[in-house]
Amino acid sequence: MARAADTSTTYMPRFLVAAAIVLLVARAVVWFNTMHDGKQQISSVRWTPVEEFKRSASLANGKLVLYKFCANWSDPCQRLESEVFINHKVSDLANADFLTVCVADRVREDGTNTPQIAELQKRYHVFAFPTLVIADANGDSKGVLVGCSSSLATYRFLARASQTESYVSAHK
Amino acid sequence: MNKGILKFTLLSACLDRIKLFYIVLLGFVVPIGMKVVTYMHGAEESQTFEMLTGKVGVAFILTGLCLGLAGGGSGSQTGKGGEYLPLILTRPVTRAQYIFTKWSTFTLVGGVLAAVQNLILALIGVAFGEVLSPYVVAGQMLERFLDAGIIAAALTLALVANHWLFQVCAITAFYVWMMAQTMPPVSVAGPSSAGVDAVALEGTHLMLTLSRLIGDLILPTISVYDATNAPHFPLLAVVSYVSTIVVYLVAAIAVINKREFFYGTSG
Repeated sequence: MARAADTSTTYMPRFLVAAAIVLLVARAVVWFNTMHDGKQQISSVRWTPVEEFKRSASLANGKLVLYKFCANWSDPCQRLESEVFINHKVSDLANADFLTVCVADRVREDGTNTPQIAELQKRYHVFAFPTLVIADANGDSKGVLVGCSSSLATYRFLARASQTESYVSAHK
Repeated sequence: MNKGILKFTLLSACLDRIKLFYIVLLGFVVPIGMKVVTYMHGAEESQTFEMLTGKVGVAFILTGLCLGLAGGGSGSQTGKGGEYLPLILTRPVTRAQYIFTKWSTFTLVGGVLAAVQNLILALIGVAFGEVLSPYVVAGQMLERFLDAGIIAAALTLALVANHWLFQVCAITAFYVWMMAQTMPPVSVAGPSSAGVDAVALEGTHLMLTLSRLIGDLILPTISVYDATNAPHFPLLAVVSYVSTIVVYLVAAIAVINKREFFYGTSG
């Protein structure tokens, strides 16, 4: 910046004004492209539909179960997939340490859920979507995360449950 | 950068006991207390905790610093709101320098305080058995500096633009932004409701959506964890962040250039 003594005190840096204009235009262009991209980013988490899930699989390999309670019409559920589970640290941890099960609500589409889904929603007191529930092989809840939190918050939620389980298993 | 203004701002931030008490209480005692209780009793961490240790925590710290400046707490400030600029600007310093120095100092102080808070919380977590990689902790600390940068720019503009209409809009926008931070995006389960329930639900949904849109517009942030682990570079987040800071600084300089200064005593 020029020395103040040589410059008017009301000097306005022109480069800053130019940068503001250029950046605002760039922001509008990038935003427009992002909105009209149309490509839905899909995470690499291998979700098993609840209808195909057997709890005995959890007993057999000693993994915790990660239930994702969601609904097709819910925007936050889509954001959870495209903004949180797209993060490879989160998806790698979910695939490695958990049996990942998707429990898709059908009440708004079909008027009712299957007894299996209704029973799970009642057991884990699900009142909002998305809700992530971590349960052990006996079905006991080990942690609940309601809503589409940040990827770091989700990672720490999964890691904490996973580490606690490993600690308990090692000290049995 | 002007060393005199930097020192003045740092001293102003550090020597006011009420400001320090507010910052220590809200920035350190409450979140650290919550964290310890969480670990001791095995309770779930709440959204409030996420708020206080994230960008809202930075906003609280910086608001404490900046509102303190407007409060007339020391002899160098005016009771009418805003710093007593005539005395500062009697020195041959450009007003752009003044704005840059103020913004840098707020960013530095807010960023350091919030990063230290995040570091203490991470160390407490590690002491209670949580496994946290240095990379995650460093990323969180960097994110607090980024948060401090944009919130400091917004608050610098709010400090110098003292038109009542702007102040009303700024305060309203701040609370609207804060509203979106209080809960993560969520849909209510159950069948479609009707009547009053439907209106209430849709109203809440609309309010939160609007709040997030305004938040993305006025205080966009960069998630370092996402930026380093996502498959694509978060171009929109970065461009939004940088453009917003530059616009706030240009606006602050433009506004302060239009103000008239009568050099003399405050009396």
